[in-house]
Amino acid sequence: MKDLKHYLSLLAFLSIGFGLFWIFNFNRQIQILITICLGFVYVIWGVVHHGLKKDFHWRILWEYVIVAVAACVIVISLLLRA
Amino acid sequence: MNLGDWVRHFFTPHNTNNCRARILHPSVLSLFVVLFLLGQFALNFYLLISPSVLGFASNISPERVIEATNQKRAENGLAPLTLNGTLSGAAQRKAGDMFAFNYWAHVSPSGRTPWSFFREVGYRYVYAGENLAKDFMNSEAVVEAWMNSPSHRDNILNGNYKEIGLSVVNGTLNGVETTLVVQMFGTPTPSPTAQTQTTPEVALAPIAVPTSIPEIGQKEITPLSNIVLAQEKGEVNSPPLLSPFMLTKTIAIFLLGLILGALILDAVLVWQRRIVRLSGKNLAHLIFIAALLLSAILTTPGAIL
Repeated sequence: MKDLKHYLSLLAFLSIGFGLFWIFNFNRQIQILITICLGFVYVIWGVVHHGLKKDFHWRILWEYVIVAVAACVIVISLLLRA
Repeated sequence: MNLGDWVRHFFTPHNTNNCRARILHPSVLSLFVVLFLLGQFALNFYLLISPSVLGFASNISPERVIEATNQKRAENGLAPLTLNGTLSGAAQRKAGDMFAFNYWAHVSPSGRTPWSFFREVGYRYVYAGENLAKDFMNSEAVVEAWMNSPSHRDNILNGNYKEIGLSVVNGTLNGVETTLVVQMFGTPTPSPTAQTQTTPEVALAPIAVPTSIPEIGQKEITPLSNIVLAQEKGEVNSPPLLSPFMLTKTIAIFLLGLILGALILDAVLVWQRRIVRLSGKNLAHLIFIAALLLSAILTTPGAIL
């Protein structure tokens, strides 16, 4: 599969983040911080991936930012209610 | 546009949506975020105007929390803590103060530390500590959560502590029915009379507690009566209609699941139709949304401090 290393790196980052999220269960402040970090890592991954593929465009950056913000806002809102 | 066209436009890549399911367009995702946040603001507003309608029903027994705490200590070779009624009184006052002044912290907004509650009930200590928890389903979950947090675990497994006080109190915090658990640890000063003395400072101290909390002067509080009181307060006679947490969790899982489903459908159709377009990678979006969806699913109510 093309770009396997790229996707494995993303999977590794998200797995670490998810593991930390689980370890710090009930510590809402740290979980919120982890969620925000995951969002940033995801956007950076998108920029690096498309940069290396030489198909980077601001519309693509915007797409990654919106997906990250949407998911993070939803999870953080849930954590604030817990 | 009939319903079929609308569904196709919204959920599948088509020439009407620039070959990308409309639901995955940044503008629509942004709209979801705005609507979700507006929903959260509306929920907060509803909690302000109709407190206690929404909330959380729990089944926490003070005896079981103490039993589980001592069990964890025994597993680590430590002596069990003795229940002290005066300490339970301090814990009850702390819970009452949090409800009365609407805060969730070790130190109140006015600067009251946990130690002031020890002093208020006349408990003189060499060592003291405090663990807080709210909105857990049961006693075991509270202790497990504390044990998973290094600082709380240190309190539970501190060999310097000899006594424990506990209070489980129901009330309204930030407009939501909440169950607070206050666990206080202490080692009394060697003097046997120290704990029963009420100093002038204690007697004059402002009491910021609900009327249901016994006054400082009532020193006849026994460990047993404290437990009974805590249990009575811990019971939820009329469970709240709906939990804000469960409502938010349901909507969060629905939204993330909707986006995930749309991404899968979009990816399959793009692959089948061999569509070439300028966009982010569906697989990357899938992995990211799936990770956060899993996090949302595994998030359970309850917080410790």
